[in-house]
Amino acid sequence: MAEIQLRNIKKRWGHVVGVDNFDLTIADKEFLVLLGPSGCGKTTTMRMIAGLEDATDGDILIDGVRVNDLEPKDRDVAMVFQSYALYPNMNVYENIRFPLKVRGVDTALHDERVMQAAERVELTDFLDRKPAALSGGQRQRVALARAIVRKPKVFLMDEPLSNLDAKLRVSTRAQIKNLSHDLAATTIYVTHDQIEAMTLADRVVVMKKGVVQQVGSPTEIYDTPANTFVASFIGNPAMNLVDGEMTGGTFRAPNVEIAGLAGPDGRVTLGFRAEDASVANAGGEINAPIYTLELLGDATMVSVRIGGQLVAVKADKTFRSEIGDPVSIHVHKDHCHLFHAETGARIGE
Amino acid sequence: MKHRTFFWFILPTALAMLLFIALPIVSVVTQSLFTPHEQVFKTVESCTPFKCTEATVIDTEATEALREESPLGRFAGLSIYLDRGHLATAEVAEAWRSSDGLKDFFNKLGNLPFYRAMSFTLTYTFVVTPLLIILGFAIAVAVNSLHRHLKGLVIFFSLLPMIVSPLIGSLVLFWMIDSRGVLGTALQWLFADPNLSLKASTGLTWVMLIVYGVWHSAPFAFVVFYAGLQTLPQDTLESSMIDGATRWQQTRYVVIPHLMPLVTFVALIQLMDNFRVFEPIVGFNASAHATSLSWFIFNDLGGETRLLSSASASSVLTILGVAILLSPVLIRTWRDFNEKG
Repeated sequence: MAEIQLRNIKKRWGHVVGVDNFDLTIADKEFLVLLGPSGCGKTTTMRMIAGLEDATDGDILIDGVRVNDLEPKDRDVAMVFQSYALYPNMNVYENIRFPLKVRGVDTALHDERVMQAAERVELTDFLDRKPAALSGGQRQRVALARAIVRKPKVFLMDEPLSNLDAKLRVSTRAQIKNLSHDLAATTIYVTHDQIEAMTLADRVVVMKKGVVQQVGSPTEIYDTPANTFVASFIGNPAMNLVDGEMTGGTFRAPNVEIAGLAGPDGRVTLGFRAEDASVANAGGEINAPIYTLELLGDATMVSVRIGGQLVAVKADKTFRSEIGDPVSIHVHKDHCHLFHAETGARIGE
Repeated sequence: MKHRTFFWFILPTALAMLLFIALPIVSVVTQSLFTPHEQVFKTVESCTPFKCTEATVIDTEATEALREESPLGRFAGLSIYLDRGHLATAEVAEAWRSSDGLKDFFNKLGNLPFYRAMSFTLTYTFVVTPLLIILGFAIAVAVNSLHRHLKGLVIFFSLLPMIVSPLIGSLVLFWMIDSRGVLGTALQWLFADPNLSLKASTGLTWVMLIVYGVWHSAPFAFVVFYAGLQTLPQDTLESSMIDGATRWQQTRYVVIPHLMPLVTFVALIQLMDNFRVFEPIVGFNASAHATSLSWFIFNDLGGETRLLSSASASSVLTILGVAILLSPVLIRTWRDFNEKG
């Protein structure tokens, strides 16, 4: 059981704000992902929970106990680092055993628990090897085994897949998901990869420049982004954003006219996802020459230029045309999102 | 790299090593096998108006001619190595025969100049080297954990002993431990003994030289370890903190293993450096209580008659000593190299 409460935590270095007023309760057994670009404060937040950074202000509670003043070792958390952070002089067995050894766990239990952890991450054949003799994926599995061996209350994972190649990332991601399901422990996972966030999280926290932009389930974040930053950060390709003018429920921008929208008159930003639009023969809401065509295998990505912005649409994989040919794009009003032109905040529900 | 390219690449270094390392060693080894020619005497008759007398005088011309004919002297084989001033094999054998037990044997051995020098040299080397490594490491860890504003100042003061020339440093300490000096007076007061003199006791002189050696060389170890600490992977250290390691366990399981290659480096350099201990013996004027192999060579060369062959034999024995000291590390390095190959 481990509920984590972050009460208005802040981190400042002089005038530089790392994390500003982070306020969130992470439920027991929840898998929370902190998502954002480099420098957004996600790792700093995790390090404050781990005790590796002191919070400038605010309270961190684990199971109702304020842990701000506790040493990392006394918080009962385990952490997996991006760089694996293994002990290079110890073999795999000793690496996994290390937390048990330094915490004075009964030595009679060590072997059984190390073997259990190693089996969980399929490392039993490599126990005698030093980290230098392992691949990146194997090293990260050692780090995972070291984290689970002492059954902590909270797992912290700091971009654990970033150093792995694309193929290995997918399989290790699946392993983490499975492990987290089996262990049913509270997990906080930091990443800048929105696919990892979407696939792993129960809830996602999107951050920018130390400020939380949105907290919600992956579906909520994807379907109803709170602002243009979240809209442009989540999804591949990112949500199309077009600046224009609303008049009487109709959005207008160069080569764009979408009617039936519920929003105030004035300058707004309209957003829609590539897969929510379709290429039509004629009569679409967007009519412009093709800027580029990209064959993705399962689809063809058609891009046009609206003002200064590129707008991408997923067409059928058989769609063929030439760059510069006129194209008509149909965007249903129900799939459109409206944001304030200045603040970028979502308009409406 | 092609053999030809490699040859031209390595040639300057090889030439320098040949000129400044190999040739001097060959020269010293050769010299140690020869001993100076004895003077050639001749009998001359000197007559006065009343009588003639015969006298034996040095035949300078013949001596000069002999020296010019073979400037190295006459071949002595290993006799210089085995004489009383060096390995003293006959004396050692006699001591072994006539001793009542090991203690007595070692006491007798201690009266032989080479073994007396060797015992101090080895004691100094094997006590000072580990102590300076431990002290250097402790200072490096302490400085590394200081606030950055304090670091510069503390580093400067920590390096002072290394900046001071060994002879000057030992002279300064020599006057401090003098019975009229700050430390000497303080010790007399501390032990309530107005006659206490560090210089008068062999044991205390050794302690004094060892303390000086650690004081003088610890900054070198400190600088190397401090540089090593800057490359310590923070993630691994933080990981050990979260795993539950105490500060000591972090040092033992993360910091020390990370610095081990540097420990080997410092140990090698300091073993060589301490084995040729010399300046403090001169600076502390301690040759009555402690001599070293280097001091031995200095003594041979510094007297009225320069004992070149004796000094050469001592030098060769010193070189052999350094080789024996370093052999375990060199063998290990060679084995590692072969394994990697």
